[in-house]
Amino acid sequence: VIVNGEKQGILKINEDGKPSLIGSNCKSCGKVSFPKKEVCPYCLTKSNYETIEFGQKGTISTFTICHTAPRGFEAPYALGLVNTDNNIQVLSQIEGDLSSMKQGEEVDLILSPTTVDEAGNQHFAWKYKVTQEGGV
Amino acid sequence: MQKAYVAGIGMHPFGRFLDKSIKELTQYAVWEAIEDAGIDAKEIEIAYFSNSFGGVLGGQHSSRGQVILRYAGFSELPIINVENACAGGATAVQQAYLSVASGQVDIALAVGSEKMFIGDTGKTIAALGSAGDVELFDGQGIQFTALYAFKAIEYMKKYGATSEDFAKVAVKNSSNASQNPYAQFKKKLTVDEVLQSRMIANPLTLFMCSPIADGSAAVIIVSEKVAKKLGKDTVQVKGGVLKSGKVSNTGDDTPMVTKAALELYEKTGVQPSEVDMIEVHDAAVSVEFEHVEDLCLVDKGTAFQEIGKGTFDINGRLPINMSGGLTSKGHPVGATGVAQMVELTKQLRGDAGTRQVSPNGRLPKVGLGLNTGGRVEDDRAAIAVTMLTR
Repeated sequence: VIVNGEKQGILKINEDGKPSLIGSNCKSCGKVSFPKKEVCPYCLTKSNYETIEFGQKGTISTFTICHTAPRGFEAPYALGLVNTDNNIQVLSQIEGDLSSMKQGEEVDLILSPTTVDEAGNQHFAWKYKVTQEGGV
Repeated sequence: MQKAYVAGIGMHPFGRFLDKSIKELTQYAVWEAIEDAGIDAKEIEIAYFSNSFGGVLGGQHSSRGQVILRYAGFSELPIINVENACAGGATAVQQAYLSVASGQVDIALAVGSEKMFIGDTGKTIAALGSAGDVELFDGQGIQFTALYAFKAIEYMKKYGATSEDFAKVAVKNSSNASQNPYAQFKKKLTVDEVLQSRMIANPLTLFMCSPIADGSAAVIIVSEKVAKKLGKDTVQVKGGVLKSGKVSNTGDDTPMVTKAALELYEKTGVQPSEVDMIEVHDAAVSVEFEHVEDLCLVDKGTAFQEIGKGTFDINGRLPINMSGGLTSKGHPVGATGVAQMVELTKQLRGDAGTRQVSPNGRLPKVGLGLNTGGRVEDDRAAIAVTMLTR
């Protein structure tokens, strides 16, 4: 399984198969950055951070439904800004019923099939999905 | 720093030109500018070539400026390739300006070109998406229209603006473009037509969004000595400021557009109240409100009320996007920031025909261009403001 961003350290797959996003928490200024960085963009301190895992749950801050799609995608689909823990807002695709999707709704971080590459490999991307009654 | 002037402007019309290559588009714009300036092409000492997608869409991943400008006849002179997402055009202009203002050269060329109609719209949309962090957004289907939609939704929530207010911007820009022979769309739209056009990313409809376009624009910037000799010392490049996006959650709410603008006002000594007209980066019409507010030209949260009063019309107090803007004139990415300078120069010279701005019956004195592009995390990648004066 190819998970986009795993190799680049943007997310990790936990033992239960669920993803977490990876950020850096600067030990000098206390600011959190996503994706993780070797140098803190807030205080420019180098190599002085702890890696944090976050983002398994969030709420929709703003979203829109895209009616055109880049190559490899099918419209309509939703893109949104999701507020997660650590005061981090991330931009992501949001899966769920497009006709009932609402601002403020709770979402879960998931891995979802996305594009197929030239070699025919199915890729998975991190996305958010509207929380279902009774869990994911 | 020495004074620098816009001696020549040129443009290939923006639009859909399936039978024209980027070389042909570029050659047309560059030579229109050379002829307008009245210089010998051999006198050009340095060239900045702005283009964003000639690699991903055209396969010319490297040496783009050198390859493309050779078709227009250029060799030997230094050619610098500029890629700064949708703000590449203004970046090229600012660098050409600095080459002259610093005394390095007397005559510099800035040209921006883009060929976006390649027969595969999905590929072009995907290419535009690569102006964000591709590692971060790999497989997410990120597109810029959605980012503009978020801004529109947030503006509506914060200030009570409506879709109809955004539609009025599209109507204004289409009316301006209907008087611009270089514009992609010359049809005057009505509010109903804009609102009823196909939804792209709510609340943005088709006619609220800038189209895919082919096109090229060029400016020749010269020293005062050369400008006087040519009799082309009317339009001065007063200054430019280029910024990158900022990190969020710092407690500093000042947008980078405002930081860039304040720095430019400070540097040039020109007050916001002296600005006669602006060309802004309406990749979606909704952002015009944010732009004019962030440039400190109207109060925060008031631009949507001003649009209904005609404030931003050609004959209003502060005309915006006289050319038709990105939405109606077209948005061939790397060319856009240069085309803004072409329009401002026409206006300052009094050559804008029926769309001529004439505050209190005189010619305008100060024009400002805002060219933004790309995305890094929560902000734009590049922000460029450039001022021309007469």
